[in-house]
Amino acid sequence: MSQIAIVYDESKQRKFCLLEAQGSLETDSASGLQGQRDFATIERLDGDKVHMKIGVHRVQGSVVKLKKPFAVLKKRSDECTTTSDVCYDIEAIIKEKIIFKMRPDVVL
Amino acid sequence: MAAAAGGDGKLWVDKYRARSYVDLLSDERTSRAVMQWLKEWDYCVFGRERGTSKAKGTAGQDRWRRPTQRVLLLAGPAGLGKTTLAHVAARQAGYEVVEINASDDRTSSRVRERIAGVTRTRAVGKRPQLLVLDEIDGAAAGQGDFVGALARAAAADGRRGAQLRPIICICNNAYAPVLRPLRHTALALHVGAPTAARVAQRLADLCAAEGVSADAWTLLELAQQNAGDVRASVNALQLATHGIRSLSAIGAAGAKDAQRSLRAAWNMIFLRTTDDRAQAQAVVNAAQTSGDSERLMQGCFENYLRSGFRDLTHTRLARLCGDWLVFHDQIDAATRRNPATVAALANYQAFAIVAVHRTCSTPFGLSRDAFEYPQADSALVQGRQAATVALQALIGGAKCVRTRAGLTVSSAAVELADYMTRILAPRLTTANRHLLKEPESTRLQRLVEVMSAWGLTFVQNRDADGRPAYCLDPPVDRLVAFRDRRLTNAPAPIRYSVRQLIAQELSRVHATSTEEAEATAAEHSKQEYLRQLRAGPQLASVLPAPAVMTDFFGRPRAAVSNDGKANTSQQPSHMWFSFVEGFSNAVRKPTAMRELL
Repeated sequence: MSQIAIVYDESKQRKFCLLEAQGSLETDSASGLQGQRDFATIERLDGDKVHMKIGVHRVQGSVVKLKKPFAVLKKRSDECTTTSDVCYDIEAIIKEKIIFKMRPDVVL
Repeated sequence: MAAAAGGDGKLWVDKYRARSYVDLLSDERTSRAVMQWLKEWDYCVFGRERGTSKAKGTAGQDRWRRPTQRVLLLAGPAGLGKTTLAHVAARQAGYEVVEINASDDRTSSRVRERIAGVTRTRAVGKRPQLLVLDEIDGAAAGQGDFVGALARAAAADGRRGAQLRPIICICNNAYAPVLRPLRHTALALHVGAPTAARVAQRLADLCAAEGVSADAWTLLELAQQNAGDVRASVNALQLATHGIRSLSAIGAAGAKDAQRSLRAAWNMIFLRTTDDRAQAQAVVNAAQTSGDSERLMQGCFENYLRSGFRDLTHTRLARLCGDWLVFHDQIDAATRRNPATVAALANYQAFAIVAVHRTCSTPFGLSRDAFEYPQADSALVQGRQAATVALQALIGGAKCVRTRAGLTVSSAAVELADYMTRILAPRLTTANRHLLKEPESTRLQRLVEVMSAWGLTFVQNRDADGRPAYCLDPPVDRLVAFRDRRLTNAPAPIRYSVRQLIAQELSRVHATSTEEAEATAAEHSKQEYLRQLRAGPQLASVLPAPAVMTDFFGRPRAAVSNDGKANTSQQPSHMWFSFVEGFSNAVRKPTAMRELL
């Protein structure tokens, strides 16, 4: 019987964020969305309100607590490859998500 | 028609068409107005100043100094010589006429092409062309927005699309709904019927040229019967004189022939001879062969008071109306309901006419100049048609869509027209706008609001006596204009000066409202632009580059956002967020974290 070990290490935790948007990101660059970085800035206002700026668009969103938290797992590949025991590291636990369901405004 | 033409195979109408300006039969004032309008184009087309300094101010002040109204609309009943007037005046002014008989080429795109070709080109070594669009109301009925396109072309001011040659449109009914877009941009001239005496004079000239002898009285009667329709008069004359030479033409001259026999029948009806029985028999025969018992009866009805018969107690007349005319009408109604019964019942109608003969005839008969051809029927039909068209124009001009939808011609006639004329007749004591005091100035303002909401205007025109007048357009007030004012307790007609004031006020309001409309259109286009911007920032490059802020010494200053950090998003981003409206129909699918990290 194989055993799956899930390791939780407080010090290694990274911060992840789940974004949910009603709409999609689009680009006119030739390579598509691949390799695009730093295209949006998210600004947390007081309360649960969040602003996300993409290009000239600013979308209003809000922070919502997830009913079931997500865990982001990473397979530990260096030592467990040969054995039947699989070992996962918890990279992060996501407890809330940001929902953008408003129509974007134009910021000039 | 060709078979009935004269010896040289040409219709006299074409053979003797007016060739020069002095030959024109139409109203002198109308011809002169056409000529004046054409002369206003002189600078644009021929590059020369107008000969006379008179009315110089009417020419437009635009780049080509064209007249403000670039299309001339000649309206009037058929056969008055509108087309002839347009051709003769155009030739006189030095143009070559290009006629598009719009009922022939029906497709609007082809007509539009030809308009563009004629009005925007300059032929070398030829006379400049002038476009005549004949029967434009008939042409416009079938096809999309031909008249609208014409109006837009006339209004175009751009360097490429401008109309640089005069256009003359000819129509029978200036108030046809299809002509509505044109009526406000075009100079509309109503061609009136020439007097019967003038037409008769022309017919006499024609007879002299053709070597036909005809007495002046017959020619005058011919002209009168055709009510100033020159073409019909000339055609009738040609057919009648042709009939003298060949027997086969008698049938072709049917219209005139029938009128002759009707006349003879009327003469017989009103004439009492010593042999009463024989005369009654003759009346029956005439009535039965005339074939148009209704018209015969109408002629009797319109003329019996002129016959001078004696009926002091009115008993005979009352019996005639109560018995025989009712009988005649009953048969008439029955034959209208069921046309198959015409043959069976028409013979009985003749006896009603005999009854008229027995009551109204005198030994002297009806004198020639006392008799009038019955016109009440056709006048009624024409009046009804004109009223319907005016009401349609009124309903179609209403700005409010709901008003338009809720009105029919009959409901507008019964419920709206009378009150409308009352509303449009405000009590104003002075025609000077600055002297208007409080209740009157509000009244004027209210009136102008009402009129602009219904698309009504006062247009400067001339009344029947040739005096200048402001007429309501569309002419709704004619619907409720009765000859006897005491019958209607209608308000007194508005004075000329007051109408002028209202018209000025209206044009002022119209100008400001168009300005407002332009402003809202500009606002709208701005909104549209922003909307497009929202859809995609590729338009951002169209935007002017953000002005570089400078400090007091003129050095460029880094833009600082609210949180105090330098704003780094100066260059346009290539990403945008495309919002999906409505509910999400997203499908959940497994995604490996490796793709995300």
